Amino acid sequence: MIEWLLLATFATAFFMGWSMGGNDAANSMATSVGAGILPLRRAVILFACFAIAGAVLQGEYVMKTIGKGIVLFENENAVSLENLNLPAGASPTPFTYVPVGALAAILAAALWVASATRLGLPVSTSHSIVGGVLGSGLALVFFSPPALSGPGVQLSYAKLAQIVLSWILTVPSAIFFAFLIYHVSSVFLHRVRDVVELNKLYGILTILTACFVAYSFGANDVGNAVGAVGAANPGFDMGLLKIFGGAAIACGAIMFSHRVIETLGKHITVLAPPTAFAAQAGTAVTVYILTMFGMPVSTSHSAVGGVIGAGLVGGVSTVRGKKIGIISLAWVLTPLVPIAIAFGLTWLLMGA
Amino acid sequence: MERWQMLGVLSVLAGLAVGWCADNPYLGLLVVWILLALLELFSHGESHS
Repeated sequence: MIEWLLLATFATAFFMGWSMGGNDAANSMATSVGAGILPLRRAVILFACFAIAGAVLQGEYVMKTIGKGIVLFENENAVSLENLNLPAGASPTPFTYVPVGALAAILAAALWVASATRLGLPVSTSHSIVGGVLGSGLALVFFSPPALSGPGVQLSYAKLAQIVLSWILTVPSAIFFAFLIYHVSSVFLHRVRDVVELNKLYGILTILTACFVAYSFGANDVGNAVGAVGAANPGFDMGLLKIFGGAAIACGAIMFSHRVIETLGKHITVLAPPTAFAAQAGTAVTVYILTMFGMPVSTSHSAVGGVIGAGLVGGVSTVRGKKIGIISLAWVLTPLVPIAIAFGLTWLLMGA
Repeated sequence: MERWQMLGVLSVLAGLAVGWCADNPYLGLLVVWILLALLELFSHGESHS
């Protein structure tokens, strides 16, 4: 049982990282590709290099189990694979099922993110995992053996309220910052009279910002993929886990990030180097400021907001409302679908 | 999947394998960077449609 679960956690972690790379590469590289600053191949390879570097060099500071604090357990020390290896006649506790619940949560999130990526829709991987954790948490509440009745597992509504607040704030903030950065940078950079030189300057700034966002993504989000493996195997070398997660992200980006990059970079509005820089910098500033206030901010939501803000520079008619409507629908579905999948998976795995 | 994508994935997996075998993630990262840089240098003209 333990060997099966160990293998399954590694496979699920790689699948999660792969899905994340496929969907989130667009957050840093779509603006460069959309504005014609970089060809797709070069953008994706740059993303892979910086994301894996972020994961290996700084990933350890945020090696985490995403969604921590949403589902509360009485005794977190009980979260280990060894608990599944029960001696004959011993009674399981609600915590017996925690590793299985974590596995179901990550798998559900990865399935949804991969599906959205196939459809070219930028969705939040963090929110997908939050949905997955909620779904498996609810299954643990409902299906824990009756003999173990008691407040073993409960949901933190304060944490959930904070997440919902971040959903409401992120896009307007990114629109505002992208719009502001465009106008502020125009004041300084438009002193350069040569249009070719000006676009080159904006192009360099956009690439630098994109590489910074890719590095930060690798550092901050590798834990979303491999955090559960780390939690389940406390003795495992964290350095090797980090490169495992980083490699999964890089493979996902190289293999199938092009659809989301095209949606974000080309299908919402038409980007040029100055607006691409505003969108990318607006995304980075929004993520930085909201994170400072402790908000569980989504880089995908910020990136879409940044692109909309940059598009609004040319007037409301330059932004394609229909595409934004489809993306918004995917955002509404993002926590809901993983909740349903994780609930079903946890229930199935607990019975296995 | 195009040729550069296949080679890119192989480069990343090679770096991962080196990192795991040598028990040194930094060495693995270095291998990934070198292989991806070589891929970018020698695959001009190829691009995803």
